[in-house]
Amino acid sequence: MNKKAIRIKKIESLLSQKIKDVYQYQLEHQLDNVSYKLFDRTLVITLEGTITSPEKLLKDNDHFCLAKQVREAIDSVIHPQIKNIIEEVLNVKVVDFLSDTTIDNDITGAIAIFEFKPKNI
Amino acid sequence: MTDNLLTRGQLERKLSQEIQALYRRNLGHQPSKVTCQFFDAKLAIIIEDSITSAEQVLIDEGKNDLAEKVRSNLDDAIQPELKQLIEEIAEIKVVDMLSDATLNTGRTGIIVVLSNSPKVRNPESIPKVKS
Repeated sequence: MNKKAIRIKKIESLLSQKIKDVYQYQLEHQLDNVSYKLFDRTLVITLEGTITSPEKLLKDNDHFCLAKQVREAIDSVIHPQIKNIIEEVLNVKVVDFLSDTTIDNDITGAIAIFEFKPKNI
Repeated sequence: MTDNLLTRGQLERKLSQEIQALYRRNLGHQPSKVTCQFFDAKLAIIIEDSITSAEQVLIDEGKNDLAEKVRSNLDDAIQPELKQLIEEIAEIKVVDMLSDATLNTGRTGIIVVLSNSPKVRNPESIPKVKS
């Protein structure tokens, strides 16, 4: 493994840990998987297993609209923190952060657009 | 048989053009740029300048909440046709679509979860995600 690959692996591992910590500390919830793809100035992140047990319970008991409202509120709290983590770990300025969650598939996706391509990757 | 397949780049460009046309058809507004990028069994779509003039009027008048509601509903309305378009062109089933837009930058981002990686002439060129 070359130096660049090692550096990327280290950055991805740090990103994953920090994002998982946010879910753990604020929601007592463990994510199943976090994956990344970097294209030039764009980072795509997929978080699997983001839906918490209370939301699943709401959904399973015919309160899907309420579960959706809860999810929107949770995402509005968590997603700015993920944006900050990306800026801090990659040492970049995020000019746009687009994110969405689907409750049925228990998946969150985010697209971060950087001002410039990260120097250290 | 693989000779008939498009390359990854050709497929991405074709999707970008068709998505641009879909927006123009449905909203009377053509985004300035649509970028499609396959990775693993996913497709990332970035649509620049996706906000219509009507929404821009709402923003200019300080009605941001209404503009966001309009955008969210427009995205929901377009999604079934967008899903069908991707399934037809890439010949792959769409499992999930995650979509968001920022009004002040006019940018829309969509992550499409596919049942598999698309069949292309150069499958090795589709990046694999790290997890």
